[in-house]
Amino acid sequence: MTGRVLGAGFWVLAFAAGASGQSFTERGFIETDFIGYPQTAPNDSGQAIGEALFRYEAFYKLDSDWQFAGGIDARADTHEQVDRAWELSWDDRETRRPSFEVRQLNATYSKKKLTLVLGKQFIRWGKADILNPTDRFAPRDYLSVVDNDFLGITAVRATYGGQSDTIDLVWAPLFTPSRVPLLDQRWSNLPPGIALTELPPSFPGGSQFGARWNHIGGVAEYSLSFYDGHNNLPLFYYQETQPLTADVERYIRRCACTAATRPSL
Amino acid sequence: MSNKWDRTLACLLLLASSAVAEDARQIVAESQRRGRADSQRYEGSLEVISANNKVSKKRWQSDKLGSYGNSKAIIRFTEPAEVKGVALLVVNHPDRSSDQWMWTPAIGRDRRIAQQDRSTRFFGTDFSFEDLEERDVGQFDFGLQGEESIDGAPCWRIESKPKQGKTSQYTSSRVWIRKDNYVPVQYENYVKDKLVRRLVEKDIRNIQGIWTASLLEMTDLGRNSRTILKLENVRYNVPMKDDDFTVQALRRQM
Repeated sequence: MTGRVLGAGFWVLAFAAGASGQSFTERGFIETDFIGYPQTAPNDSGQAIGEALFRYEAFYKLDSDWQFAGGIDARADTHEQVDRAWELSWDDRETRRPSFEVRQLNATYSKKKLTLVLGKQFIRWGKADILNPTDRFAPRDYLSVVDNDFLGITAVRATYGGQSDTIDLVWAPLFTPSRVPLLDQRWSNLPPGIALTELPPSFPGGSQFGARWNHIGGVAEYSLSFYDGHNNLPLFYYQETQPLTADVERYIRRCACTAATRPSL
Repeated sequence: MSNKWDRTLACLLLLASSAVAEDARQIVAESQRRGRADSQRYEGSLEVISANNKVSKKRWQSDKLGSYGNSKAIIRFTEPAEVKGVALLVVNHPDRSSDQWMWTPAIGRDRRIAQQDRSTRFFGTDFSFEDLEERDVGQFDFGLQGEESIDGAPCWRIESKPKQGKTSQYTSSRVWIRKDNYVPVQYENYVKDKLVRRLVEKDIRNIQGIWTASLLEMTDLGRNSRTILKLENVRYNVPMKDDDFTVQALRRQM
């Protein structure tokens, strides 16, 4: 197994505009990456991967209370981490990256100390650089472990409070799992010689709920959170059907947890 | 007799140095008083010029509510596209270092800037995070070092040192304040005895009764790079709401 990245190059063409006055703004970019690996892996002979991403985001502010945000990603690659079907994905439940994806589409209502966001959005409870155990509503795309990105979720989020104390309530009607490395690619690190058949994933239905109180003090921030939903990182159920042959199925564990954090000084 | 005379002389010197320190403090306080406004808004155009003369351009919008001691400010990048929407909230306090949070819209994350990170560069410019906070007069000790002319204008040269308990990357700073309008026109910041950053303020204009420097040039002498910040469309006493200067509000701006 080799996990070392030989080299990566990228080319970015970015643009941004505040078209037609201050109420509408847009931004986006085209990015191409090349990743090279010095060695092959037992389950992955690819040593050179090319990727391309086009991202476009637009924001519209209707008035002082309402604003809208939308964004779309279009992707292609040489390593079949991106689905070849030209379909637009909303829920991000595919095992591969969709070729077209709604990155975010939401409406925000703000009035005094209340902010209400409805639709596909990014929700970050974690504030640390690396380890964020309370980041319950932030699934990620780990297909390429060296470069992982966050996935938006469909949710209703209400935040109430000022600078020092905020209460955050989140209800997500549709669960969005993290995307983990494909079984036939190097990051899975499977033993050679075992024939695996991946069954359709068993992702749960039902909604997720979370609440968080965050306090900003003079020298530190504290938060207390509660989450009732599913762990967004899939696990694998493994069943040997014959010697050296097995069925593998992704599944999600439910969790209800309370956490207290002191994110930073 | 000799001892008595020595003690008298020592007392007089102490009183004189205390009066000079008080003068320096009063000059800085007067400078800050003359710059007071309920709020300030400007559009900043930045040119970052690296040691090998490579130029990168950025733009931000700055909103500030309040003045020295209890102000809040949001700096939000508007160009280029890679950083558009990135914002910094600075909440200044009269008795301690500011609190700062950075909002990165691409990953939907707000992050508190820890004290130990305040000396790092702010998004590729030559300003550090600490340079973006206000220097309230109550958090420093001052000493009048003399008088010098900057660009032909007579100035007081004042040294400031952070008081005990005030966290700062700088051991001391020198500021040149013009005698005619009390505008600071140059800062030099030292770590121990080494000059690390110099800020020069030029193109001073009277905007709504407040003398305002419209061009700021920050030089990082360690990197040999500099950032030129031009203040455009400067306006004072623009109506602003306190609720728009919170971590929560950082997220909802476009």
